Amino acid sequence: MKKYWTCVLLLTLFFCLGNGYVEAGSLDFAVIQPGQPGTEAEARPVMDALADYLQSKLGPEITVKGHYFNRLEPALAFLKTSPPAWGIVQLGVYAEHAGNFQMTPMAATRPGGFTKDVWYLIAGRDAVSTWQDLKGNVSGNMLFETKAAACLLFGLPPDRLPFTLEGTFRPLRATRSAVKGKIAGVVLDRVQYDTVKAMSLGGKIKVLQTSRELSTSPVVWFGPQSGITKKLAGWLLGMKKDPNAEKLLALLQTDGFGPADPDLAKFHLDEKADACFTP
Amino acid sequence: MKHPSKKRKYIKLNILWRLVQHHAVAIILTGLAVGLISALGAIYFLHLNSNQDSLVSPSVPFQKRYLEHLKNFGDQEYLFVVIQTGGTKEGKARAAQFAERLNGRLQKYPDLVQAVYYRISPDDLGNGVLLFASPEEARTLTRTISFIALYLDQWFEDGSLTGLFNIMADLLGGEGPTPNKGGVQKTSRVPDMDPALLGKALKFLKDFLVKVDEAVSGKKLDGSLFDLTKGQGDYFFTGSGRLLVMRILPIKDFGVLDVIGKPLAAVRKAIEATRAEFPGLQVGLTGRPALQADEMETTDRDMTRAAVIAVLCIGVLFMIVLHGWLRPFLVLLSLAMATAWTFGFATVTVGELNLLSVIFALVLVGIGVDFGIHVVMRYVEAHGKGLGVEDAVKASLFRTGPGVILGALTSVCAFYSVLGSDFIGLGQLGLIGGTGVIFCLVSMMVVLPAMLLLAGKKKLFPSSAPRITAMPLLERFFKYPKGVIGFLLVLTLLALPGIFKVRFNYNLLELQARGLESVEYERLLVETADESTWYAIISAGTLGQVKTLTKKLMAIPAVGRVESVLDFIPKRQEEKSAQYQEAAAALEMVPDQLPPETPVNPAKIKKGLLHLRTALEDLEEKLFVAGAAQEIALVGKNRDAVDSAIEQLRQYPERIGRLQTLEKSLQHDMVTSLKQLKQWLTAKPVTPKNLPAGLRDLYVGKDGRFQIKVSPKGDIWDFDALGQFVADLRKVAPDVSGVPVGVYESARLMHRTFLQAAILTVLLVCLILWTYSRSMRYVLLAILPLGISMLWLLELMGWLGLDFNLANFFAIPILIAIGVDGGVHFLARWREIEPLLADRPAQSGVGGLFYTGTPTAVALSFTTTMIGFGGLLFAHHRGMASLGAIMVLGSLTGMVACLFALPPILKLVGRFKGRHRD
Repeated sequence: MKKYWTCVLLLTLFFCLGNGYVEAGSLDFAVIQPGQPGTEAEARPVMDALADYLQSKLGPEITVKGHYFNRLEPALAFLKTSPPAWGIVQLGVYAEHAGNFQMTPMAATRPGGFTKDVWYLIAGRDAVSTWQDLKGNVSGNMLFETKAAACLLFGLPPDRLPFTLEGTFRPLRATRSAVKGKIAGVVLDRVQYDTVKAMSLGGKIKVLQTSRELSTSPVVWFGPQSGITKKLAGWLLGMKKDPNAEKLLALLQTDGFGPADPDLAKFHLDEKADACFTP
Repeated sequence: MKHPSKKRKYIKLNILWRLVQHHAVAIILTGLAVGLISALGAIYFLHLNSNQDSLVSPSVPFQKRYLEHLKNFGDQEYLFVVIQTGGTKEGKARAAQFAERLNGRLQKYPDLVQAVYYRISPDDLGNGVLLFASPEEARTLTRTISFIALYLDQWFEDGSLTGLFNIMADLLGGEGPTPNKGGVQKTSRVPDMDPALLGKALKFLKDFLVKVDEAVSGKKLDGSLFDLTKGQGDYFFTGSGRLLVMRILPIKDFGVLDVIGKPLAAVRKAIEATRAEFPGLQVGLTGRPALQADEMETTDRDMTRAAVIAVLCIGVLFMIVLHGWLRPFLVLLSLAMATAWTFGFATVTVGELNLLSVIFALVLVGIGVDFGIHVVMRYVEAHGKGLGVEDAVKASLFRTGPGVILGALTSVCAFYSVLGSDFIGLGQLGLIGGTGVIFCLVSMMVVLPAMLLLAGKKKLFPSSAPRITAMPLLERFFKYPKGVIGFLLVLTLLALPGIFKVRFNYNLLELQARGLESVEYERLLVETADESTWYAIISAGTLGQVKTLTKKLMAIPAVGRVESVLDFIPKRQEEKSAQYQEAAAALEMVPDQLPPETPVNPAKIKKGLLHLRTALEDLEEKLFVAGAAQEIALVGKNRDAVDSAIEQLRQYPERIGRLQTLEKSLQHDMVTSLKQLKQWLTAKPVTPKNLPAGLRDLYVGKDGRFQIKVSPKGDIWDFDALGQFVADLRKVAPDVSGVPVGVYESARLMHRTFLQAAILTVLLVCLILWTYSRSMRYVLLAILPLGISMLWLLELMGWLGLDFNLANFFAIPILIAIGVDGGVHFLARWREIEPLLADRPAQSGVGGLFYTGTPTAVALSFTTTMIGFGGLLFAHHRGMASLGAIMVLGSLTGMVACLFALPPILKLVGRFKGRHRD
């Protein structure tokens, strides 16, 4: 359950579009994790817990409220219309929209204690041997940002892949479908892949492609940074050593927050260019 | 050297001889008759008291306090079932399952098992159960109940299975309850419950859904669907979580030797049966009663084996030395009569045998048989020299009589020296054993000669004479007595450093057999959990005193755990009660009556199941992205049960009717649980007076005083650690009692008693010898072999790494008693032959001590003791083995001292006297 809420948060934690500025007296945040199962209502207690924690640091002068999105369109609309101060966004979202919403990485999540993520393309044990021979649909809950996902996993834009990528809110069902051959394959992140390996399903899959080491969901600041930015980063980074944050971190199932990943700069997608990432 | 008054002594022996000579048959018949009456009396009237608490005088302060505690708080000496968990979550769960199964089996023995403690369940804590929650838990619980109340309210509208499925689906999906009849959506926020609860909730749900599936299959519901009072509760894991400890209170029967033999057998049987269900799980039984029972069983087995070995070996030895079977048989018959008389004496005087005095018969075999050896050996020797039967019996009586009587008196001294001791068990052994020795003396000096006389006259003995009655070859060793003495002196001095290596080891666990389950698991508790099965007891008059004492006790480094009634009196009860009032108010609106029963609706049931299935799938996906593989497996089981039920209903729609009973049971359980919950939420504050009886009896005495149990930390079997623990506790509570105090004080008392007995025995022996001889030289010469043998024994013990302990220290008084015998017999014989030696040194019988049968008799006497106790060398019980080792070594050094150290000294004394006389 703890892990569940964590993921809800981490998935939710990804976005913060807009021009990125601190509204007077507000340090609202958005967690944007497209494809994450669940609803905003389910993630609400975790959002509130994180907000309460930060509120205790800020004092009454500045208010904090958390927003959670697991669908891309409402999240982007929210960023445009009511830009929060900061957010936690999925890597794909960051890769495609960092420039649009002036995202500046200020910290990094550590899901399961990992500082780096890895994505895997898996298929049933009896499937083809290479991803180049794979045909049909490939699902994954990180595939809503199709271009980013294709570039991150294959280094190619989606239209040059022999199969179609599609986002799903049910990665486990997709994995079972892949094992049964109902779909071509499924893309899993590090936590999901480890979970499958721990299940009986683990013996029925094979890995067709493994990504390079990827950044975990970054904590970003929207718009020009202010004095509070560094303070916020400091609070987040200090949570691991703060006894008051122990329960919250347990609920988040994250081993605290780490410094922003310098590799994130490599993951800016140029929407107009054919190539995946600008050199 | 002065000689005792021969005339006076011979007059008395003459009376004895005339009695034997003229009334042999009457003596034998009387002996047998008294023996028979005594044996019958003992069978019918002699009781066995195996209560260890009866071994120490109730007037001794520490024992008095302990007995008062027992009377006030009852017997709380537990058997401990120790279940190893491996420290993992799965291991703990398996251990808990084992405990539940074992408890189920033990409940079938209400006449053998008084109580089993292994967890605290809500039912054990009574109505105030919720007050035991922490304030934070109470807040969460209140919020949860307030939240759940909305769902309950919704469910009670129709009370159907379908309704429950939908509610469960909503809860799993994190959705709020559907609008009520008035159409108003009750807003509620999902309380921030402990995420760890998901696992428990899923297990509960799985059990319920499996029952639904089984009900559809036609299986009847066994018991209730759920019962709040039968919650899992907290199991008694040790601090490290590596062990789960069950405490079992057996019903004791002090009328049998093994006291808890039957309960122990039942518990072991139950453990074995349960163990078969949990292959690979490491489980063992320990605790003081188990250790004692195992000790009793081991020692009993060891003693029996030793006795069989001893009887066989001694029998063979006797038959070789005494030639034929009749003479050994007569000795043993005399011994049997003396033993029977002693049983009769014990019946009349004490009326019972305790754990120590029960071994008196064995001791009599070791000591009493020696008297017979001397009498028979002398008879054989005299008869072999051509004397007639009457003269040979008379010679044996007159010549060995003084020595045997003296030897018996010294043994009696060893036993009687503990009379009046605070160690009642030892005192009774002293009385019965000492009197038994007197009876042995009477039997060997009266009945045995009478039987020898009759058998000899009727020519029942073999016509050929025994061949080994003297050891003349040894006489050559003493041609140069000074050389022998010098050689022995050098050896003794070289070995002297060994003495300083001998220690007194008080550790009772190290006396026990290796590999014994109870011992190994006691060790495991000490090493793994830093705990012991022992605890000290302190009583306090008020709760305030309990608090103060607990605080002080917890500050003691040697204290591991403090248990008292305070553990069951929740803190901040008013604050929690106020919160629960809110929860109770939320439940107020929930009706406790259900609408009239309606038939189950197949379509609705199926829809509800599908709704639940979807919710489970959603949850599975959420758990998957969170990486919760274990929870996914649990959800999978839930889903399987739902799928099975759906599939059954699809194939056999008529089976829907089978859910009617289940729904009825659900309604009943829900109403009952709701009532129970309301009762708990409105419970009065918990006080010692309104605690459930099961708990109150554990900590509140009959007089209203409170019991505090203090468990030590570390290896309490180590005597230094035990002493420190007791001393520390006494600083806080001078009247502390319990097993650690009892063991500590008993060990010291036993040590003190043995030491006093040893010293007193030596003094009394010296006094008797002096009274007999009126010569200090005689006294010194008589006890010289004893002194030398004790010195050698200590040296050997040091070099062999043998320590004294509470089991083998008892050997010392016995060795003192039998050690003197040899010297007395040697001196008596020396006195006989000394005047003749100067004139006819080369002739048999007067050529020296080793031309007589006395050294052989003395050697045989020591050898029988060595054989008698030698069987114990192979004992599993290390205490018994060490007793055997010391007895064998002590007998050996005693024999060597008599055979090799005393004769050259006597020779020197003899020569000196000779020269002086010349």
